[in-house]
Amino acid sequence: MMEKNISITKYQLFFFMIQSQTGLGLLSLPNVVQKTAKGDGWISTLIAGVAVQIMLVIYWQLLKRFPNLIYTEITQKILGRFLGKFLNLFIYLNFIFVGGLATILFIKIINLWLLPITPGWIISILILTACIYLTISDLRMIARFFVLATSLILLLLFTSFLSWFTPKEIQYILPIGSSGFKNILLGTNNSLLAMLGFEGLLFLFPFIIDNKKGVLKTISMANIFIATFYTFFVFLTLISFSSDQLAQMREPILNLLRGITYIMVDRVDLIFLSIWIVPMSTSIIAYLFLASKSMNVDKKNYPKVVLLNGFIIFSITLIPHNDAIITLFNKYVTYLSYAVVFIIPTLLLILSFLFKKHESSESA
Amino acid sequence: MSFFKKKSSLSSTSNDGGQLCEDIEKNIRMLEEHFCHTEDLMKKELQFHNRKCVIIYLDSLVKKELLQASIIEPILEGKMSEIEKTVHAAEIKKTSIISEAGKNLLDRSCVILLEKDPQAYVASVGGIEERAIQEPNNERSIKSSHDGFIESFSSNLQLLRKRLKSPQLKVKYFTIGNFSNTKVGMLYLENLANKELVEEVERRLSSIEIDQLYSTGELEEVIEDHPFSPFPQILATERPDRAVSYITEGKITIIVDGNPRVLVVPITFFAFYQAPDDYNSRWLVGSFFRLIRVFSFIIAISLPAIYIAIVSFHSEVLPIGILYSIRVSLEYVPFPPLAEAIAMQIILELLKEASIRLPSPIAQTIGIVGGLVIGTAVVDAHIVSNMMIVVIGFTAIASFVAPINEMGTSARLLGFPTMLAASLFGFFGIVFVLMLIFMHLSKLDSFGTPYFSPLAPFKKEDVKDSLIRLPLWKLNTRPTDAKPEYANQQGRIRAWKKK
Repeated sequence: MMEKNISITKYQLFFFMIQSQTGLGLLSLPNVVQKTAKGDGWISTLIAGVAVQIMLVIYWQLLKRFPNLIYTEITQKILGRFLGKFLNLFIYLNFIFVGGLATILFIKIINLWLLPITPGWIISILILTACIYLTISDLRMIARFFVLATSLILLLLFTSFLSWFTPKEIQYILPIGSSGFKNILLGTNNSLLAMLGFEGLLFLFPFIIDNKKGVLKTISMANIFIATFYTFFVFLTLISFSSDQLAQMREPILNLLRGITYIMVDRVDLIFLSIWIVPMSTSIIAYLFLASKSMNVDKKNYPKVVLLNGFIIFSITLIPHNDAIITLFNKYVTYLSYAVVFIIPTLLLILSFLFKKHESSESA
Repeated sequence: MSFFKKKSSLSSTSNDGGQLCEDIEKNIRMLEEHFCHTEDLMKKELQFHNRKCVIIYLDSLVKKELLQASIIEPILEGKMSEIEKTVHAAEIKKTSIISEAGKNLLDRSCVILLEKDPQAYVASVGGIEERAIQEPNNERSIKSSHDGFIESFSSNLQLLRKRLKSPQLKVKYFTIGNFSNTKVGMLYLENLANKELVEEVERRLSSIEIDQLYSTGELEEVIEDHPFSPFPQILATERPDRAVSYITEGKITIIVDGNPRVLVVPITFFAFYQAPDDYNSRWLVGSFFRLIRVFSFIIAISLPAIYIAIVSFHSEVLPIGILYSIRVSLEYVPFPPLAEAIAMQIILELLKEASIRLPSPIAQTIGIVGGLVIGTAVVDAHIVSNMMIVVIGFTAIASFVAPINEMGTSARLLGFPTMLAASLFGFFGIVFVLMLIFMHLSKLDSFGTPYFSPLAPFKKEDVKDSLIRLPLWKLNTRPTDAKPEYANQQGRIRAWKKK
């Protein structure tokens, strides 16, 4: 398993986490969060960051016991072959569906903002071609590209600073905490979805060079970065638009940038979205990679599996999607994600404690 | 001497393994047969201490004066009793194998055969006219040295040895090509270059089965990792200073006899955007120019595409003032922007191709025709818009900025798919193609080194002398992309400042 040529450094892990977590969620996050949390949405994202951090610690505890196994191998190790494989099916389905959902939302945004008439399946083919092209190569190359793509996120961060010159109203978020604890938590629930992607750690851990120490620090840094990044954007949007305005905006971040005008450039939002295509694609790449990894195939068959999964995701995007279907799809995928990302790893950790199982012990 | 072994049966003649015998007439006959009775194989009979002595050489390859002065005259004088001591040659070899003697004859030597002696004595009397060392035309510099490689192997080696007077500079010879028997040498610093890299280059060079190898370009295609990639993965340079600087980074240079271009492996993308002048300018200036050059790569690929996307899809990106002037220039042009752009790019390539090989007075005419007729008249005739001329002109200049020409051409070539995607899908198409290009760059390897290093994978310590150039006293470690055995390259070089 620990082949030299597919290992990544902790440094690359940091960027891998950032790239798989940022993406589609960000653009619509302020809208989603304010539905329940209103002006306190930024607190929700912060709490979501804390929740992710707790999960990361659980992952860390679990992975420390099985430093050379990936998620789908750990399930088999703890639960036995049959039950493990059964669970792995759900894990696989989760990644495929999340990948499919991400692609559908991607196509929707492109259709809405950049190419209103171009049929969705063409965009789907293009984007999946690019994703498959990268995913089919080994992990090192994916990591290289993700590090490269992170420079774009910094560029976008810079773009967002430009929007400080548009009118701001701090009254929108005051008084702090007015939405009530329950609503803030509901907002957290929504923003957690945008932060998904950190479960990639479960599959990357065996490939990290020198994975005994320092990994928790790296992933915590990545999480802090993401949480701060998201909170910053949500905060920025919340003080720019009132709740009523936000409720009518599908992608408030883009609307925020739409207000900026320069002598040379009029629609900063279009340029922002064009560049944002790359972080959105890296999320899809991450899910395609995770789905392919979760099938536990050997190295020779891996490219075939990536092609197959790419085709499955493409087929998912072909399903006619209006808003109602997407919402429904989103709801079920969310349930599945909660199970795969939060519940199963926690259960596995508890079980491995109870049965005192770790990697060196005999498999059941 | 593993590289002398025959790699295929393509060129083996009947008496390959033939041995010389004591009968001198038979020996001569065998050599003549080995050379298929070619008529420029000359024989000169002499007497050496009352023994018959025959000097055989290829008329076309030896210097007659040298042959006369250092071989024939001493033999006639016959001061010493042994032939090795008589002949004035720096090196005299003995062989008893026909093919070996034949090889030496082709390598500008003469063969001396003696009566009742089964050995052939080989002495070098070669002399081939060489071009003088001059500044390479395609890699000119303002502030760096002005000598360049030429077509002779030994001169090229000399140019490198002159700069690196170190016993660690090691040369390994290969003979490639069953007919051409081209001499190929790989040079590296013994204790610095990575052992695995040296082995890998050796393995690739010694496994080539080919009949003729003329140029470095051919060798490049034979040993590169990804033949289908649009990017050059081996750097070919005519500048000795450039080649030497790579050798000191632990890289390997390959010299092909008869070629003024020397190959450097492994290489990274950013090496193609470095120039020796960067080190002779102030570091701020050098860094600035490096950034400008990398920027030119992006411009060369995407500028026409961005223009096409804005004009045909996203005109709302531009404020009304600029949009108005673009629209006015497009008003009477009947073609879609893609057709305009591709036509102009092709015209540009044609102009360039036409002027390359013409003698310079005629090439000037091409410049006038290109500048006036194509530039102005095409706009006046409303075939191409003014704005498109500006865009294409800017793109062309950007692509010519690359210090190594191949990279600029690759960038210009990649501009075409980008333009096509832009005309089909607007900004999305551009980002799609650029994303594919950068994914490809992250996937490329050159002799086991990531091609897009130090950006992918990101290496902080290598950025200081690739994307930018920090002052010399900051460059304490050499670039690590060739995985040198040790990284340190200097101590405190501004030690005088310490009191």
